Parts: sequence; structure tokens; C-alpha cells
Amino acid sequence: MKATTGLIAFTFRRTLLAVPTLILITMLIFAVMKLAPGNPFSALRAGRQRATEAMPHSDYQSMLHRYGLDRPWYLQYESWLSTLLHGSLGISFSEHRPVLDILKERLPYTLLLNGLALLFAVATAFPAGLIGALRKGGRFDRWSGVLLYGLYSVPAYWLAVLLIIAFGVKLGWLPFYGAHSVVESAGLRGVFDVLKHAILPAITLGVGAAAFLSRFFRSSLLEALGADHVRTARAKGLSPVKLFTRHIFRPSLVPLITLAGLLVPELVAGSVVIEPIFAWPGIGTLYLHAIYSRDYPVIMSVALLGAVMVLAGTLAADLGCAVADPRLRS
Amino acid sequence: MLRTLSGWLLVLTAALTLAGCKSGGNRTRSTDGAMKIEGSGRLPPASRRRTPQNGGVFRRPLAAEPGTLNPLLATDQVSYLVYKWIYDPLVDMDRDQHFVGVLARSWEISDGGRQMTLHLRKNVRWHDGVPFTADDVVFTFRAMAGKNVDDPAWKGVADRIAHVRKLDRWTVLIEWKKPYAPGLADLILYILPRHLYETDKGDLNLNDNPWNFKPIGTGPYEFESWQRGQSITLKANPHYFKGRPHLDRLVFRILPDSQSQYAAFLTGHLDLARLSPGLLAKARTDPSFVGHAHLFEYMSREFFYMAWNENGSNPFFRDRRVRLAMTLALDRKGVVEHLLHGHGVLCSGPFFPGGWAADPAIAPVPFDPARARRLLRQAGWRDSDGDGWLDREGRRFEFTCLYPEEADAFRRFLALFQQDLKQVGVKMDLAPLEWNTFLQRTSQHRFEAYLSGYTMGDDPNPYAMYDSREAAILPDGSAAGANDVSYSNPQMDALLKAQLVEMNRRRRQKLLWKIHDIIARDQPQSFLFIPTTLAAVDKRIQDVEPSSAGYGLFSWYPSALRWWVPARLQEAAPRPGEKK
Repeated sequence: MKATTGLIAFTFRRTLLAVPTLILITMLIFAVMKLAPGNPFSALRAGRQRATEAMPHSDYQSMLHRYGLDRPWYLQYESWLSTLLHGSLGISFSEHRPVLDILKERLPYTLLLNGLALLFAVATAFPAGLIGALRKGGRFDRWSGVLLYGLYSVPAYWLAVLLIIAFGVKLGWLPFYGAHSVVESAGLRGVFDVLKHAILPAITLGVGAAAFLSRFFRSSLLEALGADHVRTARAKGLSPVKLFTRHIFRPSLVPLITLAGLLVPELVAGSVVIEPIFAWPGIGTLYLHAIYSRDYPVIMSVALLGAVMVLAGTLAADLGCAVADPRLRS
Repeated sequence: MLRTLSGWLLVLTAALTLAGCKSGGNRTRSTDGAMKIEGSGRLPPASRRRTPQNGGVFRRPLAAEPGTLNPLLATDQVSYLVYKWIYDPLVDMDRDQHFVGVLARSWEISDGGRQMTLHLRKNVRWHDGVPFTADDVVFTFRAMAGKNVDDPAWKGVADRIAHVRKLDRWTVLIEWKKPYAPGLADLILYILPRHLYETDKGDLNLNDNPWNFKPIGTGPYEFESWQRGQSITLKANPHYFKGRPHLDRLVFRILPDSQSQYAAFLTGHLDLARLSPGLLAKARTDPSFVGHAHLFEYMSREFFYMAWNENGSNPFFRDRRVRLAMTLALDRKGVVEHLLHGHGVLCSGPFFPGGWAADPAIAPVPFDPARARRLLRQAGWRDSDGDGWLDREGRRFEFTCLYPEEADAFRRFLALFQQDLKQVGVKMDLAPLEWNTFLQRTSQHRFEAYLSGYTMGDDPNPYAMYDSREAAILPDGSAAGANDVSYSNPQMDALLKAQLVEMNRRRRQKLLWKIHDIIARDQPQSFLFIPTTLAAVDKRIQDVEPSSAGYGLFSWYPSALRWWVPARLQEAAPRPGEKK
């Protein structure tokens, strides 16, 4: 009972702390975004959009004025924040519709992709780290280490192209662009269709994390194996299964949970690179375009979303650790 | 035409990443006879002889999701690629860059080029059945000029037009503020349905009108569906005024990555793919590609150039001889051969080679480092301290060239140019900049030199680039016009002004040829080359024809309205994976 209230208080405290953090993050991003040269209309003003002429200066000025882009950045931030508190993320400059509508379409895809990537990473890291630790220095340990570190250091773009050529073009097993087949299927078949489309991008996105996690898990297992209390437990004749579950597995799980949570920001960042390659209709593709075209409302919304996801990831990691290790709750 | 960063920089970057890997420079274009490339010329006679059949689908990639399908609001090339099939313009360019009437049947110019009377087609209906009339045209012009309408790409046109009046149900009078020779190009304006974009009170309702995303046009294709982030599908308009287009459907698949585009083409999921020169070399040895691809090569309307600031932080480029020496020293042909595998054409000015505005007698400046050295010496540049670099009055000939960092190809071009300039004793430093930073620096004239691309307009009017008043900097630090090199020449100013009001095309051509000649002599920029586009189209598609004026396969009238697929090939089933 006491443990549960402790956990709730812990969660509450952490969530409350997240609010000022969020404000600080968004303010920082807003300032940096505004410091960057250009605005949504500057490319048109510069005249490299229409070949023979630039947007007339007076029209440019009146457009800036209409959208309040001629005011100091902190006033613009203030109005962004107040719009946000009224439940709106603003209107996209390049799509001419509410950012909320855009995110509603895009977010599920990115969540699915990141979830699958994380799942893939954990599902690979777990057995690989386990076997590697139990058979330390064995053939599997050596080769999986080389392979995973090789994949870890490979640029994601290159890996994506390799996977597309191998599984998409040569073997023809998996779709490699978009999230749906040309002919859409409904119901359960539709779900399978999307999952099938997600396999290649999820693997590309998750491979780095898998390598990292597995090596980390392996070393923390090894550490636990060599610990004094484990030796003592073994000496007093505890069964190997009990020894493993109670004294080795659980303590090595703590860093793994923390890491998995901290990997969320890395995956979110990875989405920006991976999604366009596979034409995955998530927020990564959206974000890249928004930055190029200085679509401020979209940039801010995605940044906010990213910040929330990162904070949520850290929070989840902390909670996971708190569950796994009661000492951390205080 | 419109262009965005993603439109050319990114494509080129991705494309040349591959091409650059093998820059041995021993490739020639006509070595392997495995595939014939169709230029901008004739088609193989076989496909011409048959009668077109209706049916079938054409699936093409889009490099990005269109922002909107409202032609006034759109500022990106990808939006244009889609909406141009849904809406009709008043006039358009044909294959050879002549104006053809689309919604306007014919037109007359009066009052010395200030007025134009348009006679509209009478048998046109909107996709929802409402008849198209002069009211729609007048409305579209009114919307274009609307104060709160977000149509930055059209503000310049709107500012030029005094007013637009309906004479009767099918006739419209357009009046410019002053005579304006390029006026017809302003009428490549896609007409919006008034009944959907005007509120009951007669107000404009453009910016967040839901019809922007499910447009109703008069064009050959009707909007069918838009799956966000995935695809847009259009279906043939059976009541199109020119008759139903042959292809049942146009499907636009959003696929940003050029590698994925190519892979999708190989597996039969797409009917069109743009290839980089490097990819082409690989594709030609791939039987699954050769088996179903019809290859086209044509010039685009974009040229690359080096800009020399005559008013920069150093005085090097104010001397005409120095600018000419720069061009002479750059081995442009070498870049085309080594980095573009020969897929590019040298150019001598800002006019489309072979087009009516370009004087055919003016050849690109040759590559001649010896003459470059002589000219630099005449201009007072010598290597007085023997360090290998030229100097004058104690100052070394050294400058910084800006380029957009996203364009990896530019980095490769410049690496070669750096060597070329070193040969004549000139030191060029390179500074890659993020796209918007690059735009800001160049438009505020804060540069010594830069490398960029420029897309030629539908009218060749070079006024903004070379008129001396267009070089002014406004109080807020931005430029008045596109003359970012601060070129100034009274003779040029007079010619620019004269061609702007010369309504007779022959006489205007003479003026433009003179302008071309002055540009060639003065070298305000070094004109480099126009890369050619390599496009693969599935062999099922018949009567595909590229424009001779750089408008490619689509961006002219009627282009794809003529395309068709033989009935037996209309089942567009994707091929299974190719195994060798």
C-alpha cells in the first residue's frame, strides 16, 4: 500500500516538473527558429520561386504584418503560447490548414513506426545480450558483437537503400514505400498491410538501438554475474533458475529500462531521416519540409510533440526503474 | 513556373550522390546501343500509327506532398503537377513554347499593349456541372489581388494589372497599368470556380476553403481522392471540352527518395522515374529495366550560373575583363562530362538555347585558361610575390563563393572550379550555407560570388536581373529586384525598357538578341550549363513526347492528354520481384 502511494507521489512530482521543462524547451526552440534566417515568405520574396520576378516588397511587408511576423520573437512566442493554451496549434503556412489536423493524420504512423522500432530493438537486444553474457567470449558473442556494431556504425540512409534493394527489389518480399498498398484493404487485412509496410523502416530505425541495447544488457548482466552476492547465493546452493531470475536478471533490467526510455528521443530524431526514404507518412517527413519552408506553426508543433515524447519516455523509464528498484522511489 | 528547394536541389543532390562515385570521365553517351534515348525530337513511328484507346492508369511519383490544390495559393512545384490536370488556365504553352488558348479561345491586344480582350470557350462546365463563364475569370483576378489572400506567387502579377472587366458572358477585358509585352505569360492563370470561392455576401473565401483539398475544376481530370502522405488520384473528366482524355486515372504517389522511386519503377509500381546520370549507367545493364522502360532525355528550363558581385566587399569583379576571365577559366564542359556523365548542355545567357529569345549566333564562352591569364594581366593582376596567387596593389586575388549546402552536386562542381581557378592564380574559398541563409545573404547582396540555379520564366523578360535600378537595397536591407550582382549599364537599361513595351514579337526578339549579346560580352554572371533530365516511362504508355522548350513531359499543353495505353496492357499489375 505504502509502495503504491509512493509511486503515485513520484509520478505526480515528475509530471509537475515536466511543465516548466516544456516551457523552457519550446521557448528555446522558438528563439532558435526565429534566429535562423528567413521566414515562410522569404524564398518568394527573394524571387527564386517565380523565375522572372520577386514578390513585391509592399506585399511582402503586408504578409509579414498580417501574420505578426514583423514583431519581436518573444511577443510572437507569447501569442503562440496563448494559442496553444486555447487548444490550437495554429495554421500551417504551406498547407493552409490547422496543424492539429495534419498531426492527427501523421502521428499514428510515427508512433507505430517508433513503437515497432523499439520493439524490434528490445526483442533483438534481449536474447543477443543474454546469450552473449552467458556464453561470454563464445562464437555467438563474438559474431553478434561484430555484426551489431557493424550495423550500429552504418549510416541509416545506406542501410535503408540496401534493405530496399534486397527485400524490396531483388526478393520482392516486402513493400518499401508508403504505408498502404495501392489497392487498399479493409479491416484486419488493412492492419497487416500497414504492418508489412512498416517492417523495413522499423528495422532501419531500430537497428542502431538494438546494437546499443544488446551490448549494454550484456555488460550489465556480466557485472551482475560477477557480483559478490551472486557468488554467495551460488555458494549457498540456490538453484540456477532462481539465482538467475532473482539476483541477476532483475538488477540488470534497470539500466535496460532507462536506456530504452532514453532511446525514444534518438528514435524520434531518426524518424526525420528514415521516414522520407520509405515515404512513410509520419511526422518526420513533415518536419523536414517544415524546416526548409520555415513553416513555423508546424515546426513548433512537432518540436513540442517531440519534447513531450522525450519527457514521457524519460518519465516512463524512471517509473519502470522505480518499479524494478524500490530504492529509487524516494 | 514555380520552383522550390525540394524541387531541384534535393533531387539533384540525391541524384548526383550516386553519379559522383564514378567520375572517371571516360563515359560517352552513345557507347551501348542497348537503349535508345528519345530526345526532344520525333517519336518512334510505330507508336504513332495506332489509334488511341481509352482506359488504363498512369502512376507517377511526387517528390513531396502538395501544400494545397488551390492554384493561387500554391507555391510549390508538386502542387502544380497535380492541379494543372484539374484546372484549366486561360492560355498555356505548347510543346514548342507557343501560346495556345485553353479557356480563352482567342484574344486581341489593343491600346498599344495595355489591353487584351479574351474570348472564352462557351462549352465548358465545372466538374459539378455549373457552367463556366466570364464571371469566374473576373473572380479569379479579383481573388488574386485580394488583400487577405495568401497568394505570394501571384502578387507581382496582381500589382501589374489595373482592372479586369466582364464585357459579356463569354468576353473579358484585361487592362494592365502600362503596356506590358510579357502580359500573355501572366495569363497562364488557372481559373477558380466563383460559386465555390465566393461567400453569399460576395466576399473572398480562399485561404481555408475546404475545396482547396477536393478541388472542382474545368480540367481534363476530376479530383477523386487524396490519401494524406500517400497518394492523390484523379479520374478522367468525360465531359472535358476537348473530349475525354485517354487515360482513366492519374495516380500521384508521394515518394520523396529518388532511390525508392527508381526501385518502385523497376518493380512496376510506377510508370515514371527520373534517373540520375549514374543511375542510368546502372539501369542500362539491368534487363528488368531495359525490358519495360522507354527512356527520354530533354533539357530542363533551369541553368546554373556563378554570380560575381560587382559591388561586394572587394572590387575584383567590377572589371569586365576579370569576369570574362573567370568564365574562360572554368572548365564547364569538363564538369558536364565528368560529373553529369555528359548529360548537360552549355549555355551562354539566361535564355533557353534554341528558344526565340536566344541569339543562335552567340556561342558559350570557350574554356581558355591562357586567354583568362592574359585578361587578368591586362586588368593589373600579377603574381608579384611568386606565391602562385595573383595580386594587385598588395592584395591577393582571393574570394569566397557561397552555395546552398543541401546541393551536394554544387560542392562537386565547385571543387573542380576551384582547381580551374588555381590554374590561373585565383584563390576561391567555399562557404556552404543552409538554403534560407543562402537566400538571405544573396538577396541582401552580402557575397562576393555564389553558385546557384535559375529557372527561366515562361516569358524571357530579363528586366529584374539586369536593370540598374533593380540592384537597389531597400531601407530594411532587402533587395529591390533580382539584380544581385549590381550590374549597371545604361545601354542595357534602355534595351530592357524597350523590350518590355514592344508588342511585336519579331521586334522584341531583335531587342532581346541585343541584350543577349551585351550579356555575353559583359559576363555579369558566368553561365555554366543546363542539366538534361533523364526520364524513364513505362513502355505501356504510348505517344509520350517531351517538350522542345524545356517543359518536359508534363508541363505543356496538351502533353499527357494524348497519352494512352493499349487495351491489352491496361491491367497494371505490379511485376513480382525480379530474380536473375
